[in-house]
Amino acid sequence: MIYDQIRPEERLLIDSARRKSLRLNLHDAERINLDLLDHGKEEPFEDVILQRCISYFRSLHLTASLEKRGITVINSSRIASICGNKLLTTLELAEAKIPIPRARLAFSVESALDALSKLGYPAVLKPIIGSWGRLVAPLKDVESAKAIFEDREHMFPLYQVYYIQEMIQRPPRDIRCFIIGDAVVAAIYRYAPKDDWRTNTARGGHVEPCKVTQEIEELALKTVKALGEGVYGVDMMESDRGLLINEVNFTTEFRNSVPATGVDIPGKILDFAASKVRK
Amino acid sequence: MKGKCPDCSAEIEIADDSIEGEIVVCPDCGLELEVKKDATGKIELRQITIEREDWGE
Ligand SMILES: [Zn+2]
Repeated sequence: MIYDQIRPEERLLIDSARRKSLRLNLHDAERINLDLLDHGKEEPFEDVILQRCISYFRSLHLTASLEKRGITVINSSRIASICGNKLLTTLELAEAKIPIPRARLAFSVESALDALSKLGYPAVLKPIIGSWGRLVAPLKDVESAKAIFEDREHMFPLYQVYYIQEMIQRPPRDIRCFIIGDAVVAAIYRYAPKDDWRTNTARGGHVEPCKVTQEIEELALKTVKALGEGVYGVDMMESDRGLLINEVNFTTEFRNSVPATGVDIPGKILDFAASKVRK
Repeated sequence: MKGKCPDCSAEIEIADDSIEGEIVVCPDCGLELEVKKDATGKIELRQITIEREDWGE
């Protein structure tokens, strides 16, 4: 396992591996330096690696480098590059005809305002990279949108890629569904904390178990089909058009979901990884 | 092992198998702290102050 911090998730994986008598070696990403041309003659790694870096850039670049050595990384660099980027996720899911919120792309304040007039207010501006609801901004009307876009014009160029999504009318919760390999293993409802319209539990909302309905399962399996088998936390929103996929997380957090659902998510992740070890 | 919260000075129990980078939460003030080892191998708790832009799940 490669990590940059041991969150409760990584601790659960370590403890679960110990109980299963599985050999799980730990690699601190900050202590790794790779020779990119000499594939694996020095710094040997295992055949299968669980990539658990919180940093998207670390995760993506390390995974791509390790894959060239013939190592199976969970999740793959293809999954990381798509799921770590909201725009690429949207394109893949749209191509697979998976229901998602309408979204537009623009690169200047003027075009972003035009995009908004086509999408309608209110809408949501999201950074294409980043998570935990960071810098996600509701756009209520032209004035507030202008103010937010002007703000972004002074930020890192990444934040001038305007990914604007329609605001979905929905209950103050979303559904997080866990996929391991090609199977749906559990789902939870995540409730938005008071005074916050986002539902990311990292920001302090609470969770409740959710029955994996046929609709959830079908959507989740379509996602796997589009992106390949792996370990995912798929976020769905309950809209009047049915469930819409909002986000596909590829280094998914499950600390609150294990007690809420009783499902041994870390154990299942390890079993999936172990099934990839060459015999 | 025991550590000290840099903010409220509460004493925090650190599991013996803790590794560098491990996150512990101060039971008194709720602060998220990271386990760090100094050059002599002594354990220290440091406040996680930055949430980097590419961080997430
Ligand atoms: Zn404290």
